[in-house]
Amino acid sequence: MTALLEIENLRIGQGNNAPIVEQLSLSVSRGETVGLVGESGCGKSLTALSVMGLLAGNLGVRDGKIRLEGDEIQSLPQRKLRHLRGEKMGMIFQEPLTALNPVMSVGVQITEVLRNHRGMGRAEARTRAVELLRLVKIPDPEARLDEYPHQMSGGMRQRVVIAIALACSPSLLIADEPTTALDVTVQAQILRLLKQLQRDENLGLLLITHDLGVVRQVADRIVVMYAGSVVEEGLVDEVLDNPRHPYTAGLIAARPSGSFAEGAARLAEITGSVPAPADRPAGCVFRDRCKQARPECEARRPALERAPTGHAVRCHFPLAEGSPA
Amino acid sequence: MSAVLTTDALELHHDTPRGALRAVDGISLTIDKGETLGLVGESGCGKSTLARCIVGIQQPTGGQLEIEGVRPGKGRAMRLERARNVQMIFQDPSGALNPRLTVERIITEPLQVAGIGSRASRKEAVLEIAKKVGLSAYHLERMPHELSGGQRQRVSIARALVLNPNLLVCDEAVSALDVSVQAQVLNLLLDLQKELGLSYLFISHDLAVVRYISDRIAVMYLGRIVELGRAEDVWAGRLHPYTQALVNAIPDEAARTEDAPILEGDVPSPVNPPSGCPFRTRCPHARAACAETRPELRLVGTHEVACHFAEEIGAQVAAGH
Repeated sequence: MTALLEIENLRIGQGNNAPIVEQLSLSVSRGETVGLVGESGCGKSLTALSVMGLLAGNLGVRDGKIRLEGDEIQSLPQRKLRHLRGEKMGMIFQEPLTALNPVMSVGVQITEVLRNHRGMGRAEARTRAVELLRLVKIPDPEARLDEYPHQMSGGMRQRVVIAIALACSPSLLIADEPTTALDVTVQAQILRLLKQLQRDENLGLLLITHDLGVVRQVADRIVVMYAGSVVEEGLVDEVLDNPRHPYTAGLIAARPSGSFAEGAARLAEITGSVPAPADRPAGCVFRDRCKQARPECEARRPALERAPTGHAVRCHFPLAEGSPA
Repeated sequence: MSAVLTTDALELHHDTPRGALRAVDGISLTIDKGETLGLVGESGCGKSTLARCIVGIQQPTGGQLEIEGVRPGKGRAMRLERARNVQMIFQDPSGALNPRLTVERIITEPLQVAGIGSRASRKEAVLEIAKKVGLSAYHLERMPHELSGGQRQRVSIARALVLNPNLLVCDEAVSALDVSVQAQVLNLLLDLQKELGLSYLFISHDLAVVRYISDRIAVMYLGRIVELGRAEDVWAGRLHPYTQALVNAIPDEAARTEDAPILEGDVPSPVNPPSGCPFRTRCPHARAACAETRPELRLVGTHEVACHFAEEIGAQVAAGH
């Protein structure tokens, strides 16, 4: 597979403060779904925004490369990025209500993309917009086109956001917590839709989520982030069945399973909380929350070591294969 | 066991220009001392409104409610009595705490309002409850914004427990927390329950969390309970098509196959809900009878279900469908 998106040694910082994301590398191929997982504040959303060229204020890419179809895009001017956004890459967000303009009908919001990027006329754009709504399985698309976001349910609104992101047939779709604000039954619908679209349109999908279950269902590969960098990466089943980084193992063990009243064990906690970028410990960033931390972990920051299988882990003392999570 | 909470056909209807909105539509349940009742359902099903009726933030428009065997009244003394018995913690601890008060003042406030103790004894009580929830004297001097999300939720729990209530209503109390912190708070709630003999009404949209923490589970849809029973009976022996859909919707390995059934559509409006069974518009088993009469909650096998065809669905499940 050829890499559609390649991020190499990315560093994102705010002003002159400590970097928020560092030494981050990942790739997404066409037809592949990569799940980017981590807790709030780990930098997963900033990574996505940096790819889209949407870092705001004094946030910026300080180092590293972002390549889309082989071309470096991290230092392109906004004018060129605006062309890539929509045309080559699309993004969907957590909260469809704030991603949509409340005073424009959804039809105008979809055709706007087509008219600007593709120079389509009004009628042609409208025909394509109906096709797009049909693609995201919105019933009665002709009538829905004239509705406003507040007239739709959360699930329908997220379908509209997906339709807008796919309007110009991009090759890369970035979905940042696309189902977190939705009810479980609606989440199931949207996840299935995303997976179908990804396969039918041969998209590269970068799916950002905090939910390991969502990754397990949808993704081919998983990238686990902690405090600004990748701590583990590999095929979904391999990483989740055999986590080698204590943080990944901790995340899996912290999920409730079974019933406490019927004898299920106490949940395994990860003590403490994610440090702010300026308070990250020297050496391994996870060491002050890690049960297996040793003196070496403070002395030296571990590198991301990759096994021949592609399973990579950033830990001096990774858990043995097959050890209980 | 004695019931801490009993509701009988509790209703909260709002008048709207389009007709009555039945947010809570005849809920009868009990919570025993030391018991956790989990309440699951999707947004708009009325679970938060039910919680607010129980705590007294909203007034039910019908039915009965008893706390410790007493019907709560309206006067100040009665409201204080109710507050000493029932407390609530909310989803977003940042929004639930006054940003301008120190943690110590936040936790002290309920004691002051209830007029309990002297200044010195209140200070002592606050430190004691703070230690129970895993906060130290250091945290008591902080402002909410100086704490992490998990610590803020501990403050909410301490504030709720400082009056020694019997029932704690937890409305999506761990939903806004990261998984690792969520585990800390769930363990804390289990420890406190054991130590203080608390009862919980634990509301969440997350079925795995509810299954873990609850003794019994109630599943709500459009203002009504559709399935109710011991946690494992409801989870493993689920009979209502809605409960089955909720479990099937949990993302995991099994959901990878695209022929696994998932629920289509959205929850209908609680204004003018469907006739008969409120779930029939999304139900894969719906038949003509479902549009005519509304199924009541009834005992089927191990637990209670509100479905006309629960026996048939149970037999299908047993046959391996």
